Amino acid sequence: MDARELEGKIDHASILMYQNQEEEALREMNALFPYLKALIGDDLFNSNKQAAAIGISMMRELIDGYKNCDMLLMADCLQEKAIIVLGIYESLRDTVD
Amino acid sequence: MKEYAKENWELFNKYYPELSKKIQEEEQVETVWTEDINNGEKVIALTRGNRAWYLNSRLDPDGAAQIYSDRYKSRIYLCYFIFGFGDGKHIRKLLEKCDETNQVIVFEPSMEIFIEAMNNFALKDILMDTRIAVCFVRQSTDLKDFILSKITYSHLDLIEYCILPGYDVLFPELCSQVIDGIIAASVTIRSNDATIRVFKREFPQNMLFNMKNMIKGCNCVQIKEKLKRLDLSGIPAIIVSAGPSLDKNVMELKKAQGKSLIIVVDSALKTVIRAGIRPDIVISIDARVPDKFFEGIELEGMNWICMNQTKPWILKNFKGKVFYCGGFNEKWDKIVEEELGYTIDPIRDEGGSVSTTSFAIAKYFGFKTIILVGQDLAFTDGRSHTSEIVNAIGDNDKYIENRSQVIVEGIHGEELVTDMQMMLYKKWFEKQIEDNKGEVLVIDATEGGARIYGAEEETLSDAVKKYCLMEVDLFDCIDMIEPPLDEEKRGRLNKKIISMKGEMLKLKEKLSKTIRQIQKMRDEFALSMGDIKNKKEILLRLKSINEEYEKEEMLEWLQFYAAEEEYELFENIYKDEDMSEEELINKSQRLYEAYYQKTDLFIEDYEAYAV
Repeated sequence: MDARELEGKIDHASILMYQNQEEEALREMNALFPYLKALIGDDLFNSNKQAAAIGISMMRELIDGYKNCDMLLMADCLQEKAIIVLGIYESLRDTVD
Repeated sequence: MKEYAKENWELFNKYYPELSKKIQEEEQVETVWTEDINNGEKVIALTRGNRAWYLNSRLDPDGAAQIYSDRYKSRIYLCYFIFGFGDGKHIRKLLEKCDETNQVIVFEPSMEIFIEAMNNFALKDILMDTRIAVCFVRQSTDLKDFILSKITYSHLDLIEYCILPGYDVLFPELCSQVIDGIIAASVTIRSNDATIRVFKREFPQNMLFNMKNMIKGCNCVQIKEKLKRLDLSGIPAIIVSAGPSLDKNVMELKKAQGKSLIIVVDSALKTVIRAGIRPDIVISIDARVPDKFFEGIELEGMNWICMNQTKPWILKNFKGKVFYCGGFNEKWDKIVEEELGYTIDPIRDEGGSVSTTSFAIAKYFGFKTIILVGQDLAFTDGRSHTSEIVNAIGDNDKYIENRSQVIVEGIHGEELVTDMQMMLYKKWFEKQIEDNKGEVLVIDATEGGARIYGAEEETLSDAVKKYCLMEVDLFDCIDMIEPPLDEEKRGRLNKKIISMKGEMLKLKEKLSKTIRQIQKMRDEFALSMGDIKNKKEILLRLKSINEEYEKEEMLEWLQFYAAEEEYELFENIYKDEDMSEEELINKSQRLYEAYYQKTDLFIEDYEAYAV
């Protein structure tokens, strides 16, 4: 999945969460987890300590939000940290390219 | 205190004085606070367990509220039921998409959150908005009643139920309670509407008769006050219903006589009297009770509990003391209460049958032990009722065949056939038992029929031995109560009844003018073509006419007679999104014409029943 697509999915999931559409939101979040996990597990990403720290913080928050069905926590985390993580990943990849 | 907080509280005290009083009386239990976030914004949070929950986005609260509001469509007459007030931003965004036909009913489960919002956010626009009503769920004694005060039949398919993010997870039980309240209110409205359309003229006829009759009668408040002087903890109320199992154990009631309050529903009367038992109270509340229920039995000297729909034939034919229970309509009740000097308590949530109403009344009187007899709530042994009346409602087998049948568990663990209606009554009893756990003990001494979960099952013989221990003649106690109104007060109330005819004639004249007005508006509208401003002005005039009629007290009578016409119109008038404005005006005119035509029916019935 490319970055634009992933960003679209992040936005879509956030909207569902802000709208308290719990069932669909959790389904979308569940589908996003593997992609986000792959992102922060990437060696290139982890080579940047600051990025790695944000990534870990993001996952912690998302997992906590998911476990507790805290829609607003997940939505804010996706809109802030997930977008930052995606942005950092893309810029690191561009640097390498 | 911040300036806007002061303003908030002044407005709240002005527009919600009852809620304001509740806030001051209640102890605060939740830990709630407000946090500053970016750009001078704030967000409310609360602690649950070891976790902080934020009730809006910490990134962009207004943006999140807008996204939330985008979920819900806007359309005229839609009623938004919102679980959660939060910081008011979500409510504000929803209100922005509403017009004056919409209502927003907010159920806030946490008074502490509301107080935090009032102290930290400018809410003037929301508090002053007449489209909003607020209910504190935890402090509400009857959600169903609150909801019934806000919606009518025409709203039933126009309700949008919204839950603010986090509120369903933080307050799941209260959320369920609100949903249950909405469902219960919807069922009541549909059932009342269907009943009115079935009973048509009988409703206003019976009401007119009973309004007149109650002037010289007694009321249930008097019974409650009389019973307050006794210690009811040692005296049970026995509710005798007309299920098939009554035939098996009715004789046992003899041992309970003089040691309990024996309340007999009208359909069980024949069986009870023929067994040689004198009821302490007979309850008859249905508009269409078959005369056969009372054939061949001596009914002189009974104590009757009646309501506004009790069939007049019963009270005309059987002498006895009548105690009216519950009210009639707002105007009449107010006038009567002024003469009485006290309030006629409504019986909350009577359940829809004479048996459930008897239970509600027994609870209202203060009984702590209620024994159910003949409460089969199923077709025990293939019969619908006690043998004395089984054919009073027509052929028994055909009756059962025509019911929408379901299977329930019997008290012996067997499968029994019942119908949907009895199933609803069963669930009503079960909810009452659950809601009153620890306060009221309910014993099912039917010895047959469906299992009522939560009730203790005993034989009637054992229940009488166990609970009927004190000698107390409640029949005499109640019989000695005298009518509360003297000749002078009765005279004033009779004058009010007399004035009803004149009021209806005035309304008839007003309706005639309104119909001509609307006809003129139709013609103007047709000529308006592309003049949108003029069209809007005409529609606003129509809205204003409708609002004026909502305050007309006599119109309530005409709504009984025009129930069918109202049903046909309201099924479409709010729901049809494609309805043109011309059609709306046409339909309004037809409704007012229906009301006009029905004024003569009212006057006919008034002269037959109230004079």
